[in-house]
Amino acid sequence: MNDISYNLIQAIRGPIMLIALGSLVAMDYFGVYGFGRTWPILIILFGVLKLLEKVTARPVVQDSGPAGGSAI
Amino acid sequence: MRRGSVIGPLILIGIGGLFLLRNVWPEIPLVDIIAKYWPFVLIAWGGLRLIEILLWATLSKPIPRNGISGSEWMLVFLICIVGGTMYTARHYTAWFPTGRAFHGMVMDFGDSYDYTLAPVEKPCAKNCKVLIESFRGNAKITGSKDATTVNASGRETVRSFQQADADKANKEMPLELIQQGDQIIVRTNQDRVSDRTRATAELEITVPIGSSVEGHGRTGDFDIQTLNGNVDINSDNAGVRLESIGGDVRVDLRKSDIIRAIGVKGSVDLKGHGQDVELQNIDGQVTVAGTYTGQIQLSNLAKPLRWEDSQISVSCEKLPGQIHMGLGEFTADNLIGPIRLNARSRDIQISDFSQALDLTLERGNIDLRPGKNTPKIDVHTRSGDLELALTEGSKFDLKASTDRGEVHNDFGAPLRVDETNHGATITGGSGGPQLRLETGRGALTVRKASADEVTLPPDTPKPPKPIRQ
Repeated sequence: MNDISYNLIQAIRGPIMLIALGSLVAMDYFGVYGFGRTWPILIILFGVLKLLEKVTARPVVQDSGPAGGSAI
Repeated sequence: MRRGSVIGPLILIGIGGLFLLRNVWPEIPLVDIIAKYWPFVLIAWGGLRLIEILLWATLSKPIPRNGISGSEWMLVFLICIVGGTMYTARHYTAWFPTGRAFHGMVMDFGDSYDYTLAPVEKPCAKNCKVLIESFRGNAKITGSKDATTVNASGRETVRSFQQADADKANKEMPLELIQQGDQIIVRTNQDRVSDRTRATAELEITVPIGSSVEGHGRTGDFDIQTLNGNVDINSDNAGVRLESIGGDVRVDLRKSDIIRAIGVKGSVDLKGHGQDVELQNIDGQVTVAGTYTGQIQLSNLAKPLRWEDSQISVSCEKLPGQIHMGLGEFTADNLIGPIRLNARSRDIQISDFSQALDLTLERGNIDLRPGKNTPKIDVHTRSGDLELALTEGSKFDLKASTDRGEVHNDFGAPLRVDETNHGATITGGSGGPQLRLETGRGALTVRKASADEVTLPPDTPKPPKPIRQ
């Protein structure tokens, strides 16, 4: 399940960023908020999505070496 | 575009649809729509891709690693740049470094809208002064014997990105005639409109024949015909064409493609920079001070000519014939009066002149064919061939020399050639006006003029027959 969530979040990161970019520029053009003020939202959003990726990522398994112990 | 995605086809359909819309309804302000609504393309793109990915996830299809690929981000970047530029150009002219830059953009990308200017009329005296205030466009001014009013009409062309701006601009700049004392001012009000539009007018003005005209322009031509008063034109960039002018003409242009004056009773005074100049049938003095780099054609000037150019200066007392000046050449035929010519680098050919010639040239060939009565000639050039054609039997006292070059005495006796170190001198004559010709480097030729080279102008009295010695 974690694998699917990780892939999904990684895949939707681009479209969400695109929607956000379009929305912020449209808000600027229609006089709601200027893009000059709202652009940090893009960085925050990117950070949140990367964080979600990390959360849903499969934990890295520590390699303890071959069975039977060390040759040393 | 990602394989299996519907975004690529949808973008193609969208672009095709926009062009179709433009073709079917040309009046739709497509540029404005795109400039304002392009961010929604990004939103729709992202939304559709999001739905696609969620759908693939639900159907357990393989999900792409990146929802938007690198090449797609490049396309997004391009859309942002183009859309942002269009929006800026449309809404914030102040962002541009100068109004001129935006004007250039309007001229390049904007559309042209034509309007008819409402005709205006103002009564005036028979010898009133008409002042055309600075405007952009062409003006045709015609004097009429019967007119007792100044009439102005014409067309206005407004370039802008959208028709609403052009309509507004047209309303803001009516054509007006304003009376100020004995002066009628023609005002186009072009300075009232914003930087987002650019207007040019085509004016047709009729004035009483005795009027004087003073015209100021930025860019455009002045075409003035049949006036008994003075004409004064001042413009940044204009072509000026004058015909049948009774008074004095003064033209001061920063740039011009042509200045043509035909049939002027008064004096002609030209200043500034330009290309072609054509003056014909001028009764008054002609004074030219400026730089004209095109084809110069002067003919039938009844009073003195004073031409002061950075490349050449010419003066003579009368020009029944013609002078042609082009790139690197000067050709004159039938000049009267002491002629003074000073030039840097060009080939000179002067024929049919009967009074003193003083010619100084830095570089270029000189070909002189005086009339039947050889006048006093004083010619110096640093480098160039000299050729002098003298009429057989005419009186002269010749001394021509070249410091380095060949000498040809095709005239024969009484001239003699004395060879020097690298050059030679031709001297001799039968007593008469002094002919002094010097070239630093170049061939020197003195020959007999052929019969067709000594034809006399029709209005010049026939000189007495020379006495053979």
